[in-house]
Amino acid sequence: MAYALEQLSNGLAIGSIYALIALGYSLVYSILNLINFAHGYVIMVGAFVALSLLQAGVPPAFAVLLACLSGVAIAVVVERVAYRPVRSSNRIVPMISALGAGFVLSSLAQLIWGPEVHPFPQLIPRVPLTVGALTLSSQSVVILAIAIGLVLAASWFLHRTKFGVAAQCVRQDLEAARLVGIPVNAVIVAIYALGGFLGVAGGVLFAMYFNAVFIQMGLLATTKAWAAAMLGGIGSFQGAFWGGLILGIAETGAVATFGAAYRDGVSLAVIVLVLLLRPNGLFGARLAERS
Amino acid sequence: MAGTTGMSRRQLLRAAGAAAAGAVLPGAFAGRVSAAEEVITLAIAAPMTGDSASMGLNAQRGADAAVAMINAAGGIAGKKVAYDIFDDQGSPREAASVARRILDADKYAAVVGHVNSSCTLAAMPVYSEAGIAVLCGSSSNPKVTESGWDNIIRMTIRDDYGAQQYSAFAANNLGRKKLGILFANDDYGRGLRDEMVKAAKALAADIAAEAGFTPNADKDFSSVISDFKAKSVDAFMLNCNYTEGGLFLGQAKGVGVAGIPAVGPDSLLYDEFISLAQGGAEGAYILAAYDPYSQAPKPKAFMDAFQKAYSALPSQVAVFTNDFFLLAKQLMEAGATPQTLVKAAKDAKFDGAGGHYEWDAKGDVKGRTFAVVQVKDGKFVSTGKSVDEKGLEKLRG
Repeated sequence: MAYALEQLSNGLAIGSIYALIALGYSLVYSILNLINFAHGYVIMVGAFVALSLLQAGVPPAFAVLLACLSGVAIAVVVERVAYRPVRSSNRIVPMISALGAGFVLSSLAQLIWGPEVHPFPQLIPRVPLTVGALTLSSQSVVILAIAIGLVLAASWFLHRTKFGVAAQCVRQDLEAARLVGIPVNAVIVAIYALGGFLGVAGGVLFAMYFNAVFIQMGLLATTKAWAAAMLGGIGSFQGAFWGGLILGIAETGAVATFGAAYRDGVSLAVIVLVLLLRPNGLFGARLAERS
Repeated sequence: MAGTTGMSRRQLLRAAGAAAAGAVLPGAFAGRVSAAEEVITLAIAAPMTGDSASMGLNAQRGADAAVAMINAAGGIAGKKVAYDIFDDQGSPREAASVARRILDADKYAAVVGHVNSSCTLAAMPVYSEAGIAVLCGSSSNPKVTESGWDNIIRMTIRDDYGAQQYSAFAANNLGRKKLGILFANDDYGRGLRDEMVKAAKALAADIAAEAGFTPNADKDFSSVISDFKAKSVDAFMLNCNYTEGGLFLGQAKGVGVAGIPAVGPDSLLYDEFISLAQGGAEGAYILAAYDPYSQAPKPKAFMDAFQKAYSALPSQVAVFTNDFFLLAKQLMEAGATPQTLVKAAKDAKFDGAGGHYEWDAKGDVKGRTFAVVQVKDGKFVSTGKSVDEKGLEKLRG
């Protein structure tokens, strides 16, 4: 029993990280129908920025905040350079452009930080928490709490503020929103910025939980975000959160039951099953596909 | 990055081509190296580009060190030593073509290489046709010496014997009986794992848990750690590279799994292993094909000189390449010719930077066990221990 609970906590920790990364990804998709292949790479660069700031002696909380803001800046630049010029082109074009932006970010990061795996400082102390027969990592508990907090805050921001309402309008119909005077470009930029912020927050937790920052993290994060968003219902905000959690738990369950080699196989099988049975994902049913 | 490696590869190929072309003419008259020639040239076959290019660089550095030392001391029986490098790119197909080029040049006393087992296995049929001596450092696949070729010797400990020694160290030296194996899920990792399991059985130790991971992709070991802990594993057998090994131990420390000794191969012998583990690597044992921290005069002199020249730790490829040049010197000064080099080596005793070597009839090093290095106070130190192989005899027939 304790064993199952420990594995569940491992799954929740990794799942809440996936959830945070998936949120930004899903946000962009819900507004623009753009599969944002650069998202994971923005996150990777953000995690490296956090590492460099920490190594330079910046106080941890401030360093993480700055890194998240660097995620905002990179996302905004990528939007301006790679997405906006092709926004009204055929859907394939922005997707390729996103992929290209991802490669540029990954090559730049490799030039600056090198191809090795770097250790990441432990900002949240890693102490074992013992509850009865159960031993949990303090980190997984804190990570889950941070993820829930950030999701609630972002959710409030998108549903209860004037900006959030504007974003919903842009999502429903970009042209109509422009006609009623909503500054569409500003809203889109803000969505990217928010995605970058949440993503880097997830990326820093990711780096800390694994002890490591590395270039391939970008592709890994993109894949997991994509999978979590598909699972939860692409474009749905809560969907991305629950999708991330379920993906994390499914992966951990797969490793515990079948062995580490089955991690990606089982999680992808879960996704295929969900999509077969519920083509819109677990939480995406309410949204009609916008063409 | 890609641009510069492309450049160096072109340059290398051009250099190799020029070397081959230049060798054809004198070769037509002289045949393979004869006593009348001024220079003894060895061919190094190693990956200078591609994924394992760092090993090729190490081979070159090891050779440079040896050549400088030998020529400064008057060469081999009065003749200077030189080498040419052939880039096999770590690919078996390229290795076979490199082998042809080396033989066509018809000027090399011996081949030092290849590094990757798959390359050695692909090139050996070509070399064995001509009978040229192949001095192979780091190819550890058992087939390298089990395929019936009589013109090859190697320095490293073969995979099957090596894997047995990991289990023997945990079971005999540390007295651990419930082993947990973490292994890279590729040909190499699975091969090692199979031998470790076999050896553990022979030593009456139990494989309590095991987990294969996808190399270079998996970074999360938390669920594996929970599993090992639930099955009361009392030794971590880390059959992997320093990245995964370090991350595994760091994540284990994070959930309070401490005091369980880790045992692993020399692919962990990098400073990054210690830093990635963030304190979790303390006390870990690394079984290495040579001991970089040995205080014996020969290894220490080589290590210090290498550190000074390149500010890097020599990998075993560097040490073995260096030692093969010195071995060639010792044997040729005792009267061996290129044709009899391998046969002479099998009868010889040799001391190099990597320690003491003797070879059996197949060409494997004889009676050589791993050097045991341990992490102490965040640094690698030599323990001076050796693996207690009691109980392994029955596996070796």
